[in-house]
Amino acid sequence: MQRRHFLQCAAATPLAGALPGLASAATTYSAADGWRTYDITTRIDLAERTAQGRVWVPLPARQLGAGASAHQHLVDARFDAPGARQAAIVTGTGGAQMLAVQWADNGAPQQATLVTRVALRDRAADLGGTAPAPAASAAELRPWLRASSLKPVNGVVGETARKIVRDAGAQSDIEKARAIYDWIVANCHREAAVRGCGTGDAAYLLTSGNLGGKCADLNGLFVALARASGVPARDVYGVRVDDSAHGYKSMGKSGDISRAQHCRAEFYAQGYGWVPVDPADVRKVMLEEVKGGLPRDDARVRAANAMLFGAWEMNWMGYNSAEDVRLAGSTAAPIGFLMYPNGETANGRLDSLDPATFRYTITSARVA
Amino acid sequence: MSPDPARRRLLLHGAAAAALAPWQARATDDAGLQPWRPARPPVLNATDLATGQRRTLADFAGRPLLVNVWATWCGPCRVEMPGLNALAARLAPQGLQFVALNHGEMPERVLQFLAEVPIHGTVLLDRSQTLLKTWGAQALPATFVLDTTGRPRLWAQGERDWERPELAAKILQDLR
Repeated sequence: MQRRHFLQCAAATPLAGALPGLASAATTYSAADGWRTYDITTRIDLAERTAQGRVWVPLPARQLGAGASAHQHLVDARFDAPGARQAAIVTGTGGAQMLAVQWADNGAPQQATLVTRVALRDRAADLGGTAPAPAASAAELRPWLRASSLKPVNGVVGETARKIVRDAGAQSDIEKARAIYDWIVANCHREAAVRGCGTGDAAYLLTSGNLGGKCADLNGLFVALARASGVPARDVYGVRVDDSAHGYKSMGKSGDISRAQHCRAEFYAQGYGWVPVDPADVRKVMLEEVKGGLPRDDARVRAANAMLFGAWEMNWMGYNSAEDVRLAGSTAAPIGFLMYPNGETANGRLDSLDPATFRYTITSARVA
Repeated sequence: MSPDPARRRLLLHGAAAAALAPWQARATDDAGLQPWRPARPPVLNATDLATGQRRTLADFAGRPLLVNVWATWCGPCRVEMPGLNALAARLAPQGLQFVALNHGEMPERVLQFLAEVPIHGTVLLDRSQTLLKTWGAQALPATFVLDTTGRPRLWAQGERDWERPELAAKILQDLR
């Protein structure tokens, strides 16, 4: 059973709180060890005020990576929702943590603020290492081999995966993942017209006719193809929080990050553990790094292609890897993934991909 | 207006754009209207932008109905809207009703769009973003035709040149 962290205050009182059980504020994340610390502030101010207002705001994962390979710690999480009927940090489907707020007074502003502090450091898998990573159990890996609504592993996804693996002669987990990564970079492309990060519908992407999409589509396809090949894999849904220190304009965002959501992927290789990848960002560099785009053989693309199989620059933080997420208290269907603030009023769902009409902002500030 | 076929685009609900590559051209005629045979009878549950009232298919019973599913961010939807307006005007004497059903956006955003691109039909909001899939489409724009009894008859996925006379003729022939 999932641990359920719950904090709730009585109605008619100013609603504020913090997430318990986090690392002590005294814990230091030293720059000498590669850590950088950020405050991420999400402000909600519902434009459509009704007597039934609800929002769900994703929280950063408490920790990503274990031991020496830890690359994200949630240091602090505090919220304030004056005038709300209910406000709580809850754990939902797949362990996704979120701030859930409910308002009932349409005569007053419906506002909430969530401030999280995260410590981040760059992540790289040692694919040439001799020390084997601790093995995950079959039970731990099983969820990451299953199909989801957006990631079927049979039909066109299964057929495509088998063809990619067969054509590459891939045998090991690493070889299969590499073949899929290379196939996506070679055959898919970033489609600028796609809204947000895309819907992440892997089967539709393969049958749509042009293999175009954004991160949830391309990295979601990587995950679906890996699972269909027997390699455990998952997306990590998150947001960019800083500019890239590697000089890539297209792979970073600081300050106002309301539209900087980005989904990455990782796969599990026996002997190596979880390995980070991001083929979608390779295609992003090709499309957006310079006006007019870059060819695959450009040095900047080749460098990104090499880096993003096995490493993530942590100018990004991860929320969760949950799929088909049911929002607590919502009567609507589950959402494919939780990467944006979600909301509902008496009139229906709010448009998560339109911060200006939902009314939310997300900002990032480096503090250490 | 007569768009080149290469300009036709499909925008995935909420997201992706996809041009039909020749090697994946579907068996159906992607310039026309296809028979619409949904697994379940279509259900409409949307909000009228002008009145805020809930609307269902019963509100449109007795006359043929054309439902176009669109979004403000969908370029092909914008491109084909004048053609839909022209088609609606052309078939109004035959009783055709035109509904433009927005896929998941807020009224504020839709009203901004209408100031730029007029729609000569009833504008409804599907805030739940469920109709597109339950009616059998995967991408925007999508257009559906129901007969006078509310039965599904024709549909199209992707941008069309609605001013082509054969499309109006197809609708009239099928509804006869």
